Amino acid sequence: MAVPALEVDGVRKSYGRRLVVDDMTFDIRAGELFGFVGSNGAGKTTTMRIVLGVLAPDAGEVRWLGRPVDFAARRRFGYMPEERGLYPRMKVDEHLRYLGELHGLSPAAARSAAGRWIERLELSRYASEEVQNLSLGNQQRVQLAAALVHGPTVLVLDEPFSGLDPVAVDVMRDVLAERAADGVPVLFSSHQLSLVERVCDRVGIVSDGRLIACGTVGELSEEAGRRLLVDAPEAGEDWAAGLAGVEVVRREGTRTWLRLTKGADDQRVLRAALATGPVSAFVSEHPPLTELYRDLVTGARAPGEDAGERAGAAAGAARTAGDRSGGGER
Amino acid sequence: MSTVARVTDGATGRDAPDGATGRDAPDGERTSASGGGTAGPQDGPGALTARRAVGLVARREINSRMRTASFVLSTLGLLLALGVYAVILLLTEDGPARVGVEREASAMRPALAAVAGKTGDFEFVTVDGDRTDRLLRDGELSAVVGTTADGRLTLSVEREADEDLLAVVRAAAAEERVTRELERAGVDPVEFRERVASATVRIDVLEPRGNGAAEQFALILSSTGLLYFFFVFYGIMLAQGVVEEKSSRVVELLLSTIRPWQLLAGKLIGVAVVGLTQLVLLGGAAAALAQGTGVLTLPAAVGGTLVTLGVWFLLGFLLFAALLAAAAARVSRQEDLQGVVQPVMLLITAPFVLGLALLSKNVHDPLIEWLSLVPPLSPILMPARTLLGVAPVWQIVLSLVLAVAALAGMTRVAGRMYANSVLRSGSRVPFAEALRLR
Repeated sequence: MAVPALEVDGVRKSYGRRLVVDDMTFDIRAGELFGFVGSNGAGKTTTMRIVLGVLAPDAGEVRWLGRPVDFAARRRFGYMPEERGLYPRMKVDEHLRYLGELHGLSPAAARSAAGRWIERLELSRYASEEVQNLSLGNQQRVQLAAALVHGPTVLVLDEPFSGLDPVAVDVMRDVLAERAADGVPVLFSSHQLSLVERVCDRVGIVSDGRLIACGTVGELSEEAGRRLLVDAPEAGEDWAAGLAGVEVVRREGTRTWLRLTKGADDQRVLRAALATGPVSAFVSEHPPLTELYRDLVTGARAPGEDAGERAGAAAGAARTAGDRSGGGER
Repeated sequence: MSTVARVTDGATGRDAPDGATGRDAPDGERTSASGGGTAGPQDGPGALTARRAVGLVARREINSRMRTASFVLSTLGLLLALGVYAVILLLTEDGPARVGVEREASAMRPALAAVAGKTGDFEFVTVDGDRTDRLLRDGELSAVVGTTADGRLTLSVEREADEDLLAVVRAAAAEERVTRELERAGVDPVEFRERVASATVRIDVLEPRGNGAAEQFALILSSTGLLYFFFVFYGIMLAQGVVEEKSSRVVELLLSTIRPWQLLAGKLIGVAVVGLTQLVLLGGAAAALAQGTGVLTLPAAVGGTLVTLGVWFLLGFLLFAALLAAAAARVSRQEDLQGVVQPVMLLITAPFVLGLALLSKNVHDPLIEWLSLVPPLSPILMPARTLLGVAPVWQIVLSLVLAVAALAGMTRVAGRMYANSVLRSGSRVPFAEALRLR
């Protein structure tokens, strides 16, 4: 089992009387891409700023390799703030060298690192341009280079994909994957759920300052209830009506989509389907993250009590990476 | 660090339904990125000393400010203005005025020269009486002294008679008459003058002042004005820099690797160096100009003047700029800057206005004497008094000590306000919260 590299433990933060982050607890393992999703104002940015030490939490702590993160450890983190943080009138290469040196690189190391990232992120043409003269997408590449230039041990990126064109999204994704493959834990937030689903190892869903679910997309969907697609051509309208823990989501021609509550036996569903005649398809499906997210967030918002329990359960499931959905995948 | 870096694939949920699109694709790139990784975890960032952090920030400030067109242009512009001023001074100061003396009155020339000789403002030349009109109209001569048939002196001018010249001519005429009368009475004029001279009053000046009232005012204006200009100009420049960092959020990036006080100190030092450079350039040029044209007599050597200005600039600038930075850190947008720096600006402006008003009336004003000892008034009032040569050494030393003490205290408070506010974006940070102890 992987050792948690970066741990956020019981972090709480309030601005005045407004509680922004409440008992935020999760961890990221070395080499893991961790996606942080949640509605605007849910507390993602605040959490990230606390991880970076830009904000001090009211309670809780952040640990790196088991030890509370101190200033020296933070200096080796890489950070991409949500709102682009660069000097508008500084030249790209100068800026990267400056940030590299501020993170403790020697001038020579900073120069070579800046040059390498400029090349890797396809910014060579703009190296001696002022940052403000670049398009927003290119500024974002510079911002990524700024987070990477000192060879960080942890990457924390706030909305790295927002405003990027498809090519830039690919470059960004590849670079993040590369860093993760090098053993760097990568935490990033995004509203592009399909992208998060494709890219991330694990996902944390935040709502109203709390982490309401955390785990792989597979685990989350398990938690939300499995979906089954059954194609039984001779079955009647309500063939699945009497089955316990099964809910018909919709029917389309001969195909039926079902939602199974946790613990419901899919084999009973199969038997019921077979009882109607031939079954040409029986597929276990993952609901996309978008759907999971909507269910979780709206569910969490309605009754407060229930939300807490679900969050706990989901977090628990995240750690027991037991049987994954969809037998075929195993 | 890299011991934990390698984690076996699949330990975490790498079986996301769509497969790991980008993750396993760039195998080649992965090696290139980590292989060329001089900045990798192994030999990456080392410790960053506070001095290096401050130095790096200061160097960036200096580089980014000195290389801007506005710095170069403003320096050149001010130098040019000084140059133009110098040229005007040199052109207007065209030696003694030439005064003609007609042949008929040439007997008066020695007396005229003797009276005017002390000031050296007039030069007397003998001219023909019939050419007087033309010479005056051509501007060759500013006036012509002539004589009427009955021996009375006349003064012909083109438009208006110069008061000083009139006095000289009158005195010379009186002198001439006295000499003639004395000779007629059988008194030796030379002996008579000696006896009269011994009856004059000797004046003992306790605190001699080297300059005329106008020059003195010019000196106050230039010294306090220059300092005032620099405090405001560079103070605002620093305040804008603080807001720029805050509004562009670059401050979040910076403060994840250096401490707020290191950033503030670096910025203060950087801007101070830029300001001092410009001050020395301009002050040096101005002092050279003053000496060269002889318009002003500076109390000490030019070097001393510049050192005085430089020291007070540094002390005053650091004091005011730290406060301005602390005030500026409370807002996130340049538009809001004006409101928060106003109180600090008042601290700079008040002593300037007060100093000008009181010092120009009386350089020994006791109120100014006391106020000039106390920061934050001293950085503007004391250098003015020092340059006027009216500040005793003990007062200078005392004001310096007090200013340094105030600087130490104020930067601590300003540093706290800065650290408390600089990461809080959005609306203006309340004063009490900025001041709060963490």
